Amino acid sequence: MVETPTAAEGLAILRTMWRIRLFEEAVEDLYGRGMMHGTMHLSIGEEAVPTGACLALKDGDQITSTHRGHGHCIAKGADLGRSMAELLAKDNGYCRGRGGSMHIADVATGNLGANGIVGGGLPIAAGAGLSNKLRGVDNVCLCFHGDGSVGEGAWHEALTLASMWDLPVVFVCENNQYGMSMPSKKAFKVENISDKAAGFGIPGETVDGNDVLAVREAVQRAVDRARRGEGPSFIEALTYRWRGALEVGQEPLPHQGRDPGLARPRPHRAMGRRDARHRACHP
Amino acid sequence: MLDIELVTHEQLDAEQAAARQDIREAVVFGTKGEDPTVEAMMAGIYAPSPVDAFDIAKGIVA
Amino acid sequence: MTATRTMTYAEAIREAMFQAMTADPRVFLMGEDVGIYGGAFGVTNDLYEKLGTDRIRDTTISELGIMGAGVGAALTGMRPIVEIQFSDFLCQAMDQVVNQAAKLHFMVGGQASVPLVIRAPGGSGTGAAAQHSQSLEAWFAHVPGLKVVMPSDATDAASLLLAALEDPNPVLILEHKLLYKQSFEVPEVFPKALLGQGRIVREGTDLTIVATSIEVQRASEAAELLAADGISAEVIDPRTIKPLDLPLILASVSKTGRVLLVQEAVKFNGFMSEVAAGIAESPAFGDLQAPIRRLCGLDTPIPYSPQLERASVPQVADIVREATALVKEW
Repeated sequence: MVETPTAAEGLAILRTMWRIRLFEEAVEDLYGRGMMHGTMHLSIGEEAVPTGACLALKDGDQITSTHRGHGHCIAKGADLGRSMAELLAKDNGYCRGRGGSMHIADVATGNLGANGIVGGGLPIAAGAGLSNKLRGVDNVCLCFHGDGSVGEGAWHEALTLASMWDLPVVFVCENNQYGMSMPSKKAFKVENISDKAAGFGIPGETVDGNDVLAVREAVQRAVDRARRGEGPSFIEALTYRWRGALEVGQEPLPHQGRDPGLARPRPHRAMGRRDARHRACHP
Repeated sequence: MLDIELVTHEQLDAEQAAARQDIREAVVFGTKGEDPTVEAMMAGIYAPSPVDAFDIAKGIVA
Repeated sequence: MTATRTMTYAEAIREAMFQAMTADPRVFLMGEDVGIYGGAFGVTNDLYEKLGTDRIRDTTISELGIMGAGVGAALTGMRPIVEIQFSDFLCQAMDQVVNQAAKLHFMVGGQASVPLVIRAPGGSGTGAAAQHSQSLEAWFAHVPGLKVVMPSDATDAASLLLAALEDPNPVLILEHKLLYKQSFEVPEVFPKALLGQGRIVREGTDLTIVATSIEVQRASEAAELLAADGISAEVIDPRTIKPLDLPLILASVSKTGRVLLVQEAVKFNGFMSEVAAGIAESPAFGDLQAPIRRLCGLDTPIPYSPQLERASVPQVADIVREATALVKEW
């Protein structure tokens, strides 16, 4: 049974979610003013997933992240200044300007890094889990990945190894409904992506990824199970990318209408059309 | 969280204001940073190794 | 004179792994059929009985997953050895080798490193045909962040493996499947090796033969035959192709004035093209009395027919013929 959060935890949740939201808005602004370059995948609208999930972790636990990873980084405890410096390609950034948005990492806090390859982090998470098990520590690796990676071979191989070896890994699938332009409903012929967990003989669960407390509760159960040595779990968090993603042709979906609770969503400026800035900002 | 009275509207606004200040400071920290150098980049491809003969390969060590 | 003993290439690798795992609890091995089966080429043999199934881990047939698990374990304090059953199957694991292992230390600004050792048998000669016989070293040497090792005898197979395990970077060791069962004289204690340090296998004065992997052995046999014909060949084994001990090669080329470059891999865009370019760009070029010559595998997938397979990669007689021509014609 997962306990109800305390008021202090509630404040911490708010703090993290606001920091992610405002960080992303600042990135969008700096990008638009030409002060940032390259590729930026924003997680506006998806803040509740990393925030809720990372609340279930303790020191020494690891995460692997994705190309849309600013939120994971902040939720795991990264310094905002060094994160921003990295995106600004500066030497005082986390990766000394070598990694940028898609490779941001903060290894000291257990963030093993974002990943520019869809599905790239899944086998690495299995390896971190294996390492925890072999080193005899009770740490857990939380593997953030998108619905787009579910079609990758890496996804299947990582879940195969993690389940075979009962590794302390929690796979958190951020289902933001689209793998670039491919709707996940069209791609996967299951009611929920979490139904696939049964194929690996591990628990699978779908939660409202815009409900930070629901995410926290589900991930906490999975983390506790992993810590007890009972193996991996799979959690699908339904969410939606508000910006910094390919918006053309997206149809409103049930989870689109809800903001994770920060503010009323701003209208989609690029909905239904591509302007040059958005095309550059999200491949 | 508002619904279950875990936090109040005032706290929501206060956290937003605090976060806004944090982000402002982060942007300042970032924009004031030095640009990275090619020399540091080239020295950072491999981790320093106790069994490395790169110096031999470069002809630096006989 | 140090005492020696006789052991096969496979036995030397097994002993080096046992030695490393006994000395360092962070070292473990995972791969397909490395446990009770003993490895596809018998390299692990009974190791799992001595070290247990935690340290000698049988995996599913999931090269990408295994490689990624190796990367993740290496990132978080372990020293994994990943065995890929045939080096051709590295193609299945390419993302984790090239996009992850090779680049992570760089991409995260040095916050972490990936001390991962990958062992994979390459080369032809077993009749396993095109998908189990390739020599793909040039692909990996082309990727900044990887080190690539090609041991040509039992001592090097052990010493370079131990050096790779001490290195904080991903190291790919391409073993040769024809060497596994061959016996070699090996010192009682495996000598310390450095990655990036080549070896003069045999000294000579008329030409330099640079060869890798099993071609080192063929070049040495060829050198014996050449000696009988009055030609003195110096044989050099770079041992690691990335980093490359170019100074050793250049000094030899300056001394002999002729160079024959021998590899099993196809000639086009191969490793020896890099060696040729390195010589051509250096002052040693001025000491050459003859054009640089490459003797490589034919530009073909490895065929099944034993006659075709032999004809596809340099054999001893080919090396003798090319070396003789190089000395006699120039």
